[in-house]
Amino acid sequence: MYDDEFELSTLPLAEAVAEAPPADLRAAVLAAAWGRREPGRPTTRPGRISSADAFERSVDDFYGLLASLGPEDGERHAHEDHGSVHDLVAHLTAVERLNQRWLDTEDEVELLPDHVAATRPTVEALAAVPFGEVVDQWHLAARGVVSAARDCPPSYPIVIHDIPGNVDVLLTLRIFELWAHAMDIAFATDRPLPVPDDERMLMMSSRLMRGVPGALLYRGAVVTGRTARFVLTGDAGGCYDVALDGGAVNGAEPDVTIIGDVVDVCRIAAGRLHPDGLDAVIEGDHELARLVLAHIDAFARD
Amino acid sequence: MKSVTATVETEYLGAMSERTAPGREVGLLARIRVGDECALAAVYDDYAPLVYGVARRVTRDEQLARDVCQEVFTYLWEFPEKVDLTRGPLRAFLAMIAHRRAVDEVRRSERRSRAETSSVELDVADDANGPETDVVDSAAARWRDERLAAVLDLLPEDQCAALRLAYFDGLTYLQVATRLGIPEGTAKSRLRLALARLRTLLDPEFRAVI
Repeated sequence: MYDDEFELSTLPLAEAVAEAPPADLRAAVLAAAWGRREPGRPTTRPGRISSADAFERSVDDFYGLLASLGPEDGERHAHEDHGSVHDLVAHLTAVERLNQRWLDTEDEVELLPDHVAATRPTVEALAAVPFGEVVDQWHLAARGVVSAARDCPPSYPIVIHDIPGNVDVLLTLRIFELWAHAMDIAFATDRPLPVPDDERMLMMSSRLMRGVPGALLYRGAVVTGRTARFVLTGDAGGCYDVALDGGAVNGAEPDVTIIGDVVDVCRIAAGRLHPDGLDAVIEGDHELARLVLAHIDAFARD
Repeated sequence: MKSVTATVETEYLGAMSERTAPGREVGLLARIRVGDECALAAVYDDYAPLVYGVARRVTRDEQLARDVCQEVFTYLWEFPEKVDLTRGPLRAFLAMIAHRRAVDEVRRSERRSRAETSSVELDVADDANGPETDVVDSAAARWRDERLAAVLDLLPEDQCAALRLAYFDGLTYLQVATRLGIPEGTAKSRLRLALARLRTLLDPEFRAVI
C-alpha cells in the first residue's frame, strides 16, 4: 500500500476538496473525543510522590550541584540579598537548621517573620569557614530536615515565617526555594539552569495552582467571583480551573485562560522569571491575567 | 483554467497564514496533550472542512464521512504525540489520517456489500450517490470540483488519472495499473512523478514565487 510520504504529499488534493461539515457534527465529534479522554486529563502523567520524597530529591540535586563547584565558584556573586555562592549556601544552612526546629514538635520556636533576617547570624558565623565545609554543613542540616519531615505528620501545623501552614506546605515552599537558589548558582557559575524531574514539577505546579487564591489574598488583590483557567503545557503539565477568591469553581467559562509552559509558570512563582517574560497565550481578561501572574510569587521568600 | 489555478495557489499561500503557523500548531498540540478541550475545539474549527471534505470525497457517503471525521479528531485527542510536525503541518497529518480511514471505510463497506449481494458489483463511479438536488450543495460541489480540477490541472493527464484512482478511489498500485491498462511499474512511476509535483506545491519557497 501507500506510505506516509504519499499521503503527506497529497495535501493539495485534500485542500481542494475541503467542504463545510454538517453543523451538528462538531458537538458529536467533541463529545466522542471527550468520552475517550476526559477534558483536563493529560495523555500521560508523571507519578505522584510525597512532599518528603520530593524534598529529598531536591536536596540530592542541590548537593550534586554544590559538589560540582570549585572553591573559586564559592566567591562568585549569586544573589542580590545573599551575595556570593558561599554566603547563599550559608543562608540555606541556617534555613535547614530553622526547619529542623520547626519540625521538632517539642521545640517552641519564636516567630521569625523575616526570612532573610532570620538567617543572618548563621551567615555571619560561617563567613570565614571554607566553602567546602559550608557545603558539608548545609548537606548535613538538609538531611536532618529530610529525616525530621519523615517523622512528622504532613498536616502538623507550622508557621513558616508569616505564613500559616503545615509540613506539606513547608516542604513545598522549600522545594521551590532550593530550585530558585539552584538557578541562582547555576547562573552565577555558567551552568545550565536546572529543572526538577517531572514528578516534582507536577507536585510543585499542582500545589502552586491550589495556592493561587492564597497568594492573591496574601497580597491583598481583590478578585471576588473571578475564575482563571491555567493550561500548563509540558510533560508535567495539566489544566487547572481556579476560583481566584478561594471559593468553588462553578463550571462557567473562566474570566481568563492562561496558557504557558509549566516550568516557566513555576519559575515565576519561584521569583526567577518576570511575568512579562512568560511566553504565554492569554484568552479573556488580560488585566486579570497580569494581576494573577504578578502575585503568584507571593510565597517566594529568597 | 489559469485563473482558477492561480486562485487555488493563492489559497495555499493563505493556508500558510497565522492560523496554521507552526508555532500555533505546536501550542495547540501541547494543549491537547494536557487535556485542554478548547484546543481540540480550535483544531476542529480550523480543520474539520479539510477532514470532512476528504472523507466525503473518498467515501461518497455523508454518514461514513461523519464517522471518519469523528474518528480522526478522536484519534488526535487520544494520541496527540503521534503528530510529528517536523514531517509536515498538522493539516497534512489530519488529511492523511482522514484519507486512510476513509479508504478503510470504503473497503469495509465494499466487503459488506459483496457479502450481502455477491452478484452485484459495487459501483464506484464519481456519481455513485446520484445527482445532488440541493442547489446550495450543487454550487458548493461545483466550486470544489473547480478547485480540485485546478490542482489536478497542474499535472499531466496520465499522472492525474493515476492520482485520482489512487487517492480518491483508494486503489492500490496494482489496481491503478489494471484500471488504466498499464504495467504496475508504470503506475508507480506516474504516481511518483505526480507526488513530486504536488510536493513542489507544498514547498513554501515555491508558493512564495507564484
